[in-house]
Amino acid sequence: MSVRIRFVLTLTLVVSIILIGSLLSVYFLYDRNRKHDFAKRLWAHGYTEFANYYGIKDAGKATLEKLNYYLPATPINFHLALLDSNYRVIKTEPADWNYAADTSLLQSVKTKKRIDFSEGSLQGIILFINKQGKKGYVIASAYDKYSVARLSSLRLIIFVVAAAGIIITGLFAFYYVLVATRPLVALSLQMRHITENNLKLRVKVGKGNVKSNEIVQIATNFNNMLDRLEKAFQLQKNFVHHASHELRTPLATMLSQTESALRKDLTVKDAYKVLESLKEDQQEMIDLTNSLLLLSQYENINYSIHWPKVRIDELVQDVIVTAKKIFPDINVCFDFAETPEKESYLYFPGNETLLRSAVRNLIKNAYLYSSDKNVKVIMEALSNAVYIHVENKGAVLSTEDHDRMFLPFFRGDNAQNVKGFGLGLSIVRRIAELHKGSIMYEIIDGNVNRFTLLAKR
Amino acid sequence: MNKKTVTRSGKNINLTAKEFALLVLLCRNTGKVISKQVILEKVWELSFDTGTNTIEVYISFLRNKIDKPFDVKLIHTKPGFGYYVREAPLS
Repeated sequence: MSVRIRFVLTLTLVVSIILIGSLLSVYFLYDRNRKHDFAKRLWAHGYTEFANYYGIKDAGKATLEKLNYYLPATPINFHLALLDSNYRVIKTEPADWNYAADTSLLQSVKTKKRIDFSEGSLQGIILFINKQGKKGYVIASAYDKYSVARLSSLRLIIFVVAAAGIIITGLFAFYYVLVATRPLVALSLQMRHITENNLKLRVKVGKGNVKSNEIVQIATNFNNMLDRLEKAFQLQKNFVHHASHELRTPLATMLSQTESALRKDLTVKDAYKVLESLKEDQQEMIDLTNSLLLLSQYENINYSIHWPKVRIDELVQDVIVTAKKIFPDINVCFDFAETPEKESYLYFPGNETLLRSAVRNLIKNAYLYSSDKNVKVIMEALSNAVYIHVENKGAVLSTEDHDRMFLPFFRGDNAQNVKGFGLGLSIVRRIAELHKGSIMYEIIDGNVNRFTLLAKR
Repeated sequence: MNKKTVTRSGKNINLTAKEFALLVLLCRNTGKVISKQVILEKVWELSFDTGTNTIEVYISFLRNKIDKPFDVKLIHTKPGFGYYVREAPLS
């Protein structure tokens, strides 16, 4: 069942129950009131007959008022029987009414004083009156024609009002739901048309305030989600594109080398040279695939507060020692920005291997892109975060490259003479994000590149 | 990074690898002033230049652990020269 129909039915049902319930209670309350009034009238006539017969004069002020109120106009089809305390019929009205006393019933009236009954359209009462030493029974019944007629017209009114109320509620609910869901239906139609092939499409955001209008909210959120999806798709496409491009270059070189070698009669020395060159290209491909693998592996690692605590300054120092072995002419200066207030500031939960890889990449980059092979590492340990600044002098990156350089395969203008694939910084960024940290780039004094790895505690 | 433990007056003190190497160097040469140059050579394998403040930072860590909880201070500075370990400072 659609939300619309469910809404219409539920609202109509609730309104119907309330409407019918209140109308029925009006009806029954009215009917009870009517019966009560009519019984009073019968009592007034019965009492008057009794008082007349026994000659009771002073009935009391309250009784007189009641009699004056209820007595006027004899009810339609009025029957009355007056009996003495021995159940003997003294008088009936009409006079030819042959009333047969039911003694057991009359006996029970003696204790209750009054019994109400109804017989077909007739309503009646049986009274036991004990006044000024006179005892007797009065049975009175009649047809409350006008009130019963009013009751039946009330029934009709109630039926019409209830039916009209329910129909109006249903129509209104249906109309309201139609109007209210129209933008949603339109939105869903538009959404249906957006597929992976036309991710550039966006749904129309209707007029209204984003904060107060839910439909506008949905449309805006959906569009924002599409933005992110499109970006992710684009990144992935670029990644595959670049990866295949990078793999193709060494493969093409290897192929052309092999082909030209096959065409010639090679001496052992020449063949050795060709193989050496091939080996170099193969090594390059292995490096590339390793980096790609590393990048994809990091996708599956998640931050954990239970990671062992890493002592970051000693990790950085270890990396520097290894870097010195790989690049013998590197000159690294390691400094603390200031003595950490507490030694514990240098510890945070981390994956040691990944952090080493991140720092190694930063130092390697700083070395490769420096003009003087000098690298400066500055450690800053604060209560809430650890900063590792890696600086080098050399060509700085243009403003538009600042964000792009962390994308896989991006290579700046300064990278023309440096071997590489443009994966290092994207690996560093992944590792930083894994540690709830980040990697930042800034230019100091116009010619110093500073990369900052930030890890929050 | 392997943790090392040393004991002073029956109390265990945890040191990092570098702190431990620094302490061992100073203790092997008790009473002798060790220059920053030598410390860098032996503890940090001369990976970075002598302008660094790393040694000061590590000496302060060591002092916090080795000397701070005790009355007798063992690690001393000879300004302009270096550091040494001795029960009492050289006069």
